[in-house]
Amino acid sequence: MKNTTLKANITIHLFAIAHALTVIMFRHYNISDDIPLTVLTLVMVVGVGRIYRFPIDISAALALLLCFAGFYMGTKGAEMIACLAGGTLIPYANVICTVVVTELLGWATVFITSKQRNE
Amino acid sequence: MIDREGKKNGKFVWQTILLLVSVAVFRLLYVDVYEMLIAATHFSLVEAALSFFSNYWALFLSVVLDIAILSILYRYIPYGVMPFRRVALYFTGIIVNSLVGTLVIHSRLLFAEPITKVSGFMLLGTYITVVLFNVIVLLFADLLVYFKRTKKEVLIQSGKKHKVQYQYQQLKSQLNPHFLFNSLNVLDYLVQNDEKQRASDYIKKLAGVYRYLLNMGEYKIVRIADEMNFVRLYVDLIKERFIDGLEVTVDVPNEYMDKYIIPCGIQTLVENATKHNIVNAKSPLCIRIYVDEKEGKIAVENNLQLRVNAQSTGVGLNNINKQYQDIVGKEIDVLPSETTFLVKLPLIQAVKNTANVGAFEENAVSL
Repeated sequence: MKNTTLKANITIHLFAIAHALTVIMFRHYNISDDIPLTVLTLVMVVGVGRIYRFPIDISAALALLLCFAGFYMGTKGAEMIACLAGGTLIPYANVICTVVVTELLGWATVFITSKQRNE
Repeated sequence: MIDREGKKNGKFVWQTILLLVSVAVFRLLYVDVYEMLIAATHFSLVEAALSFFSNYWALFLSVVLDIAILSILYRYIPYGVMPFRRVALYFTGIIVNSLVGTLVIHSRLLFAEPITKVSGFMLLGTYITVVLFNVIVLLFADLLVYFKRTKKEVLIQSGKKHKVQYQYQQLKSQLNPHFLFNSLNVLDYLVQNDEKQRASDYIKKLAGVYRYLLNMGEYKIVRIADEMNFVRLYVDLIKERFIDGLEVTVDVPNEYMDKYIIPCGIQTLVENATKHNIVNAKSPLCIRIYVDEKEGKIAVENNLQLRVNAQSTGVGLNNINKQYQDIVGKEIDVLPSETTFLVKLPLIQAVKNTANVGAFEENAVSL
């Protein structure tokens, strides 16, 4: 049990870092980060699902749901941070937002997938 | 063997990749269309959603179709077995269902006028809104159904496990060498003293006890009348050994004889009482079996005179408790006091499945 939680912890944090690095890198070269972020989120959700032995089709459904949630949370979150900073985007607002949203999605996945295991 | 395992792993990796790609494509297409609409028109997802929710026909139809897709998935595609079919049905269902919803909302726009660029954007905007709605409703509902199904399966499995554990305990008690040795010793004593009739009765009762154990072990519940007959046989057998050291009073009214109980529940409690307490003529062990009419339970109570080396693991009581949890979702009451030990077993009223009810042949053994 401890081992799986540790694995999930490491996976989520690593993916949060990967998301942050992707945003920084793609923004630096002025390329849209949509595709890599989506792929990273999908892989993270399925990966965490695998840790808790969640069926692949349900993981895919969950990944799709969480991807939509991530997209809206990410864009609205960045807008919110911008609003708080008086209309201008503060430095690294996207990075902060991406990391927070990735962690949220990761832990939401753990919460959902571990439910089955606990049962 | 390793080759087959490798092929299985390879297939799983490809399946996962393909599923991820299809999900990613769907999501990216959706976001692209959404962003294109925002750039080209003053599209607002909130406004489009409000317009969808205010059209009751479209909303009703979408929900009904979602439920239909869900029931097809539930019936024909088991979870984790055919991932592609399930995901394909998700997408097909969402795309078709959303199309129907959009057509219902914009039926006038479609048939009354020629489709312009503006109306095309409007249709697309409504469509992606309904798609989002269906994605959330269908996938979320499927997740809930999955958890409900898993929980049900887990409960069935745990019920089976508890039943097996209980049967194992029953089997152990059937083969309990102490009980058998003691019984044979008593029988030897009776034969040596030329008490033919008592010996014959004893053998019949012993056979009756074993017959009941063998027959009833596979059933979930038995009639109180059958269980009480069995308990009487069992008590008669152990009384031959303890003679005046054991007093068992049975006070179960006839109206309760057709209620149900788990097999060997009372016998296990009687056995436990004789196992953990001193039983001799000087300080007899008094066991009382009665019905607590207020609580609707059958109670087994004994005076407490614990043996010095008596060590209880609680396996017997735990097993009875698990059986009750699985069958009726109730717990047994274990109420020890300084002078007595009382256990109450819930009476089971209704019988849903007669296959789980054991019927003991009362005439098999003369009581």
